[in-house]
Amino acid sequence: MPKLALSSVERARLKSAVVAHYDFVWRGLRHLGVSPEDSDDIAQEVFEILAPKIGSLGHGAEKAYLFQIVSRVAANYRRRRARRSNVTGDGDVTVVPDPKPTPDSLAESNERRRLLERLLADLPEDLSTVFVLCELERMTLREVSELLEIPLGTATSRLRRARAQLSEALSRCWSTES
Amino acid sequence: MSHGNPDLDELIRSAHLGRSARRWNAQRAIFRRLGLGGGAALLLERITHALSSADLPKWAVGGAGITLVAGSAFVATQLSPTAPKRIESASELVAGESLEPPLPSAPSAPAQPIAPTISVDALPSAPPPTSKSWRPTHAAASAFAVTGDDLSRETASISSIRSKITARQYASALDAVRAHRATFPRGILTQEAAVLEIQALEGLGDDARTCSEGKAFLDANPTSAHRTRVLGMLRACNQ
Repeated sequence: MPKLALSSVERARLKSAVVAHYDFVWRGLRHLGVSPEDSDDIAQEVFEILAPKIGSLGHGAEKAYLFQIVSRVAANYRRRRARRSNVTGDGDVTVVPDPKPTPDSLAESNERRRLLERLLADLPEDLSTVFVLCELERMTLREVSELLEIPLGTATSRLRRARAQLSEALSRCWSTES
Repeated sequence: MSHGNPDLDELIRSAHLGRSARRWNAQRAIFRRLGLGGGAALLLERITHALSSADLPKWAVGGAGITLVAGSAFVATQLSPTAPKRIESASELVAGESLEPPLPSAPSAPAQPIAPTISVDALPSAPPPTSKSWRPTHAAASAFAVTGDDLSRETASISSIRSKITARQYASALDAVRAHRATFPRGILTQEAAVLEIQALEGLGDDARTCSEGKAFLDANPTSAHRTRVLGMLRACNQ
């Protein structure tokens, strides 16, 4: 990556963003289908995309912008995996094999997480975004509406629709399985 | 699923994540890749961030890790011919270019890992410094010792003020801020003290002073890591 010509203020803001929002970025990527093995590397890409833009962002806008990047990068990642999977015939692209064996309880928890990731991947992006922020990041609807710059009512409606569609997809999943 | 079919809420509970196990290394890789510095710069940024958050982790309070790194950075800054004579805040310290000299050669720096989450081994392994500004001397060692002690006491003082605010002893916290400023007139945690003062004023219901102090803080520190927090305390000011 070419060296960036950042002012001292921009460097300070970038450092602060890396420390303050790294966990948020990493979890967002994981929730949106990026595998645990790749999440740290992809998080690095996210901050590389942020870096040249940091000076043009308003103060306090870093988190919202980072989440936009996370959504886009995770979508690209899923598409790349899907293409690779089509070529290799791996089948379900969102199920990431565990590199190490885990105890039963952990395996079940991982299985559930992957199931939710798979269901989320099928959800429209505007709904999955609000769902991830509210339900998985435990942000309030007001915080989410501010972060995504959408009205509170829209955020509420998206969350309700996301939950309804996920519940329906989950029911279909169980009925198919049985 | 081995224990029946979970509903959506059970899936959500299972999907809550903590943080990456490789967080430190990943953040350090980002710092290096973006030219923001190495492990020392990251550690200082983390300390600044921890001090700016409401629930200060214990390891950050008066820890020898702070003394080690901030003290070393202080020496680096003070010995640099172009260094400013006064360090205004930890965030400005972090923003400085003079933090790159590697820490392992810092005078009298202990090589023991202090905090469970941050290891001294994780600090940068750059080649030894060649800059004239980084020559260990008796003066440097002395400066480091004094600064390290001061920083530990200053951090403990901030922590004490924060405890008073947590206990809703706002008047006492305000007195403690005044005492803190008298004791550390050239301290590096001046921003933290100012934010705690605003918080104490808010707790006392002194809206006028909360707003005036808060606005003065934002004017004086437009890029502060505390900006969001202070803005939150000023929400009622324009109503």
